[in-house]
Amino acid sequence: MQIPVPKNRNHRRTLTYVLAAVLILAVTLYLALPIAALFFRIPPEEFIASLSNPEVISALYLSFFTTIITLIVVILVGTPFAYFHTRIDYPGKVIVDTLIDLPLVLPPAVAGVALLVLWGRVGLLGRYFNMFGIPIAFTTTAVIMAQIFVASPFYLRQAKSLFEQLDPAYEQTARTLGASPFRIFALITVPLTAGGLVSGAVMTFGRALGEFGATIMFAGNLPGVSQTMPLAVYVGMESDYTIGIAISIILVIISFAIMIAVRLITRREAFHA
Amino acid sequence: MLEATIAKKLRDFSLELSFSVKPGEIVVLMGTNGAGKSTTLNIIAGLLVPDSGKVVLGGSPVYDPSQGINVPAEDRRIGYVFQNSAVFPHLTVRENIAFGLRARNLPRHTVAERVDRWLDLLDIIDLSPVKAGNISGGQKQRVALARALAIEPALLMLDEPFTALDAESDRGVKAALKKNVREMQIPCIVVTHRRDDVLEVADRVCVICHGKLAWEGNPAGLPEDIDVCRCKPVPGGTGQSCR
Repeated sequence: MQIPVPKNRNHRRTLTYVLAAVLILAVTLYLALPIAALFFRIPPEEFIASLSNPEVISALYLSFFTTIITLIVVILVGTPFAYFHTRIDYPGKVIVDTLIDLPLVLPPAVAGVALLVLWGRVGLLGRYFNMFGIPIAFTTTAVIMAQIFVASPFYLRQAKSLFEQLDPAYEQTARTLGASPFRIFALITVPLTAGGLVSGAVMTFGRALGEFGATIMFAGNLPGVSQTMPLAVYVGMESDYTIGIAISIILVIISFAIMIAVRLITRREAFHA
Repeated sequence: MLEATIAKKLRDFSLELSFSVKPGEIVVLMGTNGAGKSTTLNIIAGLLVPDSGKVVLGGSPVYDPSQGINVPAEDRRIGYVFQNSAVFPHLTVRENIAFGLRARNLPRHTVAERVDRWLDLLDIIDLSPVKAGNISGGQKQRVALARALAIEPALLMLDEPFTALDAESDRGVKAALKKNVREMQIPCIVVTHRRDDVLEVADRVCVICHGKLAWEGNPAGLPEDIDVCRCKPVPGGTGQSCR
C-alpha cells in the first residue's frame, strides 16, 4: 500500500524556504547595516583628514601600546598558568575556574569599580602604593590592568581547553625520554597547541582593544594617559562626531582583520589535524 | 632484567601482577581492552604510582616504597612506545629521534652520530628531514621505535605497536624490534590483544585478565581456546581463574 502524499506538501516546502530566506536576510542586515552606515556617514576625504588629528593619533597610539602590553602579559603569565592549572590538581580548582570565567559575564563597569576599590588612591591595596608615590588608578597602568582583567579570560579559557585536549601520550613520551617539565612545556606542549593559542591571543587583543567600561571607571578618560580609542569615540561623539566616526571606522577595520586572522588560523589548524 | 610486583586498585578490579623479563627477551602481555595492560606499563614507566609493589630494573629498584624509592619517569631510562606512536608531529624525524638524547644533554656530535645510526638501523634515513606529522603510520612506528631505542634504554615497552600497520610495515617493525632487542640485550614488554603478534614476536606470553595473570607460557603453547577475557583456568598453563 502506498503512503498517501499530502497534497499541500510542495507548498509547505516553498514556505519553509521563504521563511529561511527572510530570517537569514533579516539577521544579516541587522548586523551589517549599522556597520555599513558608519562607512557612509562621512566622506572618505574627511575620514583620511581626521586620521591626522592629534587626538585620534594619541588615542590610536595609546590603544596599541596598552593592548600590546596586555597581550604580552596575558601570554607570558597566562600560558604557564593554564598549563599548571590543567596538569595539577589542587584544592579550590573549581573556584579558580569560576574566577577565570567571571570577567566574561561581569559588566565591565563593575569590573572597573572593583579594580578602583582595590587599587584606587584610598583602595585596599592602592593606599599603600600611593604612600610610596606610586599611583595606579587613572594612569596608563590602570588602562592595562583593566584590559588584562576583562580580556584575559579569552586566552585563559582557550589555553586551558587546548592543554586539556592534547593527547597525554606526547608529554608522557617526552617524560620517558628524559625531558624536564620545562623542556616538555616549551618544546612539545606549546608548539603542539600554538595555533589555538594564537587565535586565543587574537581574541584577547580584540577584546582589550575594545575595552571601555572598566577603563573609564578605573583609569578615567585623560587624553594621552587613559583615553583609548573606544573612549575617544565616546568623547568625539559629544564634541566632533567626525572624529568619533573616524575612530569607529578604524576599530571596525581592525575587528574585521581580527576575525579574518582567527578564521585563517583555525582553518590552518583544521588542515593540520 | 626487569622484576616487577605491582598492585593497584582500579575501578572494576584490582591489578595484581608479578613478573620478570630477562635481557634480550620479549614478553608479550596479552589481554582484552581494560584488562590492565596499559596501566601495568604506565606503572613500570613511573607515570602512575601503584598502591604497593616493587619495580627493579637492571638490579636497582626504581620503585620501592619500603626504601622510599620512586625514581621519576624521566630518570628511569625506559623506552616507551605509546599506542598511537606519539611521534612529535611538529618536529622532523631526525629531531624526534634526537629528542631524548638532547634532553639528556649529550654532546652535539654524539647526538648526531647516534641519530644517524638509528635512522640507518630502522631504514628511515630518507625521512630524516621530513616533519613527523606527514609520514605514514608504519613510518611513525619506526620513528617511535628508533626514538625509544636511541636513549639506550634499560627496558623497552611497546603498547599495541602493530595495531595500525599494513602487512608490510607490520613485518618490518616486528623484524626491527626483534633484531634490536636481541642485539642490545634489553628486556622488552609488548602489549597486544592479537594472537598473530604473540606468535610472531613473543619469547613468552602472559595473559592478563581483570588485572591478574591468567596464563603464562610459551607462545607455541598458547591454547587455541584461550579467550582472554573470559579467562577460566586453562589446563596446561600456570593459569588461575580470575573471577
